[in-house]
Amino acid sequence: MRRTELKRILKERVLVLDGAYGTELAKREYVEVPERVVLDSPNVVRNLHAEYIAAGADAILTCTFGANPVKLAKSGLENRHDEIVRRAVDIAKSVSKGALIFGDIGPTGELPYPLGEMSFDDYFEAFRRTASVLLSAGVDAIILETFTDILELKAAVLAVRELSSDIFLIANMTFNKDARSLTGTDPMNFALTFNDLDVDAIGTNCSLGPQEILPIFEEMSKYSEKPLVVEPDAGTPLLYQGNVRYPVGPKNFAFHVDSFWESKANIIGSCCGSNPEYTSMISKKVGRRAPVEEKAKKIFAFSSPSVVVDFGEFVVIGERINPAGRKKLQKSMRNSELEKLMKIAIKQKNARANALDVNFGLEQFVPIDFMSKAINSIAYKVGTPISIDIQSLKALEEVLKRYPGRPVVNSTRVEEAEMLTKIELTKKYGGLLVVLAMEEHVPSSFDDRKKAIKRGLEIAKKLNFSPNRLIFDPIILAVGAGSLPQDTLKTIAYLNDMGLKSVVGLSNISFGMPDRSYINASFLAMAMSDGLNAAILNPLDQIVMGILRSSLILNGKTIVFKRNEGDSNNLVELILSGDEKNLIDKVEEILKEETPLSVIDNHLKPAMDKIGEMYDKSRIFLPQLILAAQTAQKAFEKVQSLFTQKRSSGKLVIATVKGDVHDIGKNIVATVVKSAGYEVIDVGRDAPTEKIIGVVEKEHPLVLGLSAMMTTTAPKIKEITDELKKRKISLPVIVGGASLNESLAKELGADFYAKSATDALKYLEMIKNRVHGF
Amino acid sequence: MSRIFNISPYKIEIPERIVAARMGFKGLGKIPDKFEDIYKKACEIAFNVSKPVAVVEDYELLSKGREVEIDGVKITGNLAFSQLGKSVKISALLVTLGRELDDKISELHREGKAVESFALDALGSELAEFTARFVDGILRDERNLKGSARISPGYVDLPLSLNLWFAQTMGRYVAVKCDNESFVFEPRKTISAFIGWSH
Repeated sequence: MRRTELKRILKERVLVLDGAYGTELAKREYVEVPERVVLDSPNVVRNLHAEYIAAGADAILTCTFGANPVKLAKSGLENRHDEIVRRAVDIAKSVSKGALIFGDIGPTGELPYPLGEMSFDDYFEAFRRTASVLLSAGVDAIILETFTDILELKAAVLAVRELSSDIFLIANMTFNKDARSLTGTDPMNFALTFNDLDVDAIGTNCSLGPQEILPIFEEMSKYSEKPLVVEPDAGTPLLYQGNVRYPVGPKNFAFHVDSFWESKANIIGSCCGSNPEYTSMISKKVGRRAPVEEKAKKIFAFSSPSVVVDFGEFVVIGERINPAGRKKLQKSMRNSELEKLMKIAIKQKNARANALDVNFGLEQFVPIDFMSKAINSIAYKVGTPISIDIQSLKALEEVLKRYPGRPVVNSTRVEEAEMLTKIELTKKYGGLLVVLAMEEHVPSSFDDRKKAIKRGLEIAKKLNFSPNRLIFDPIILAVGAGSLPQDTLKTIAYLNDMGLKSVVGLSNISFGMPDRSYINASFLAMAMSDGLNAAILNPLDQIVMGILRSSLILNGKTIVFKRNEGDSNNLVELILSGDEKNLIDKVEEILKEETPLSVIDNHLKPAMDKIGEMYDKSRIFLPQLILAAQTAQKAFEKVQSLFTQKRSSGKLVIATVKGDVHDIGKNIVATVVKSAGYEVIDVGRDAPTEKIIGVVEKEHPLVLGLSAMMTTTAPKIKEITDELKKRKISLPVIVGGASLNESLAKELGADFYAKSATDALKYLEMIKNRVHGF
Repeated sequence: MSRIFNISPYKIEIPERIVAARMGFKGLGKIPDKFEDIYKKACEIAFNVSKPVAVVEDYELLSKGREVEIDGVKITGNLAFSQLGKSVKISALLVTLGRELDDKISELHREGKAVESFALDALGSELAEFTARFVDGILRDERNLKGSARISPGYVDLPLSLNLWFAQTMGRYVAVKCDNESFVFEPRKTISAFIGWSH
C-alpha cells in the first residue's frame, strides 16, 4: 500500500492494531525468542496472526520486533537476519486476508554514546538492514516500536527514509509512569522533535497499562501534528504464584478506547499481556468511528533528550563554548579533548543558562566526529539543548543528523543558496533555524535589516518552511566600530511587532571596548524592552545576569517584588496543610504581639499571595489551592471578629449568569477571594440579570464577578454590562468560565478576564489599590 | 421504543487516575494521600445519592450523508457527518445521575466545605461519563453492527441546541429538563449522545 493511501484511510477512520506476540507466544509455551519461533514453528505465529485478524484487527505486525542485527546477535541468530525478516513477512502475508501488514522494528536494547557504546551510525546501519528486507518483502507500513531513546528512534527513522520515501512510517516511544523515556525524554519533547521529521504517525506503546498510559498519550496528543498510535500493555505485570500476570482484562482495557479516541488516536492496539480477546473488545468499541481532528498546540521550543526550552520565556544561551580568542580551548577541540568542554558547559548551566551555543572556531582543524560527540555529550549529560553554531555544511549535516532532540541551527544569512541548503538540512533532520537579518553584506541600517527579514520570510515560504521554526538575529555590530545600536533595537521591535522570535549574540556590541559587561548589560536591558526573546551571552557575567533578572521584572515577565514575607513561610505550610486548629493557634500567638490589622496585612495576606503564586507556577494543584483558601478563611474570620467595626478588604458580588447552572468555578473563586479577606455576596447560579443588578444596587460592591461556562450563556454577560451602563452604574466587571477568553470578555463589556481563581484575586487587589489610591 | 437502564453506581468503575486528573492533579496519576479521605468521602456520597439512569432510543435515518436526520431533527456539522453519516441506525442516549447529587454539591459549598464540594463535583462528572461508557458497552455487545464514536452535543461542532430535543423526547423518563436559551441540562450531571450503527 502506498503511503498516501494509508494516510487517506486514517483520515476517515480509526484502525485497530493487533496485540502482543512475545508474551502470548510464551503463554502458548513457545518461550524462546519470537524470531526463533518464526524459524522453527511458523504455524504458531501464523495462527496467532489469523486469530488477531478474526478478532477484528485492521493491521497486524510482522513477528520481527527483535529482528534487528544487534538484537539477534544476543540470541545467536544474527546470521539468519534476512531469512527471519523475510519469513516473518511471508507468514503474515499468508493469512492477511486484506488486513494491513506493518513491518515491526524494535530497539537494539543498547544505549547511545555517551550513555552507552552505540553510535548513531551503528543504529542507522542495523535498522537500515532490517528495513531493507521488510521493504523488499512488501510490507504496507513500517512501525518502530518501544524505543526508549530519542536518538535511536531518530536513527531508525532516517534509516527507513533513506530506503523509501513512499512507505508509511510510524515512530513509537515507550515511557515510564513518570512520563519519561529511559533516557529522559517526555511526551511533549518527543512530539515536538518528531513533528519536524518525515514520519507519518507517532505514538506510544508498552511499559504501562491503558489507565497509566492515557495521560502520557494525552500530553503527546496536545503537541503532535501527526496521526497518533497507542498500544498499552494489559496493565503492569504482577508476579502471581511464580507466573507473570497482567491485571487488566479485555473488557476493562477496552473501556479506555473512548478516552484514547477523544485524545485523537488514529490507531489503537494493545501490547504486552494482551491477546486476541483484547483485540476483539477493542474492535467492538472502536467500531466504525472517524478520528477526532484537532489542531496541535503550538510551542516555539528546542530541546535536548531531557529538557525543552520554550521561547515563551526569555532564553539564556551560554556563549562560552567558543574558542574565539581562547587558544587553549581551540587546542582542546583540535585534540578531541571533551573534558574541558564539559566543564565549561556545566559551569554555564549552573550559572542559569537555559541552553548552550556550541562553536568550534577553526572548524577545519576539529574532527567532525568529535563535534558530534561533544554536542551529544553535552545534550545527554548536561541536559541543555544546543544551538549548533557550525558553519561548514558538511560538519553541520553530520552533527545535525546525529543530534538527540530538536536543536537550534545557528545560522544562515538571507542569501538564497545558503538559506536553501540550511532550510533543507533543518527540514530533513529537525530543528529551529536562526536567520541573520543580513543578505550578502553586513547591514548598515534598519532598512537593510528589514529588507533581509522580509526576503528571508519569502524564501522560507517558497520552501514550505514554517516561520514558526525561524528565529531572527537582528545583527549586533560593535558599537566601538561606529555602528548604531538603535538600528538593532529598532529591528528587534519590528520583529516583535511581526510576531517573530529574535536572538542576539550579545557580546558583539562591546567588542573592543572597555567595561564590556556594563555595555552588554545595558544593551540587553534595552533590547529586552523592545521584545528580544533570547540572547547568546556569558551567563558567568554577574552584571549581565543581574540586569537580565531586573529587566525581566521590569518588563512584567515575573511576579512583582515580594512584600516582606516575615513568618509567612511557616504560615504557608500551616495553611497548605489544611490544619485549621494549628493555624488559629499560630494566629493567636501573633496577635499577642501585633494588631489584628498587622496580622492580616503582614502575615495572612502575604502567605496567601505566596500560595497563589505557587498555584500560578503549577507548584501546587487546584484542590490544594482550594483547601488552603478554605483553611485561611477561618483565620481571617477569627482576626476580623476582633475589629470593633466590620472590616473587609472589599466586597465582591458574584454570580453565574442566567441559563447556566455550572457554578463550581464561581464557588472556587468565592472561596479563594474570601480567603484574602474580601466579603463575598453570592447571588448563586442561573441568576437573572435583574436579580444581579438588584444585588449590585443594594450592596455597592467593589467589583462584580460573573461566571459563564457555556458558549450559549456567555452573551448574558453583555446583557448585564449593558444594563449597568444603562443605569449609570460604574463598576469593574471580572468574568471567567470555560467558554470565555480575553478578547471575548472585552466584547461582552467586561473589564477583566480571569482564567483562574488566583487571576480573579489579582484583579480584585489591583482594583482595590486603584480605588484606595495605593 | 425507549429502553431505560437503571444502573447501580457501584457497578461503575472509575479509575482513580481519571478523577485525579479531573480534580486538577494532572500528571500525578492518583489522588495525593492528603486528599485521600476527602476523595473517599466524595465516593461514599456520590454512590449514595446519585441514581444513574440512562434512556436509549433507536431511530431510523430519514436522511444520511452531509445532513443526518432522525425523528424530524437534523443533526448537523462535520462531526455528525464523519461519525454518523454512513449509519443505518442511530441510538440517542440520555444519561443522568439525578438531582440529589447537584443538591449535595451545593450544600457542601454552602457549609464552607469547598474542597469536598469540588471533589464531589469532579467525581460526579466522571460518574456520568463512565455510566455513559457502561451503557455504550452494553449496546455494542448486543448488536452485530459496528458502532461509531459516541458524540455529544457541544463537542466539536455538534450543536448544543440538540439538547432541547433530547429533553423533549426522552427527558420525561428521567426527569431531565433543558434551558430553552442556554441548552444546559438540569440536573447538571447529565450527558446526551448519539451513536451511529453501520455494517
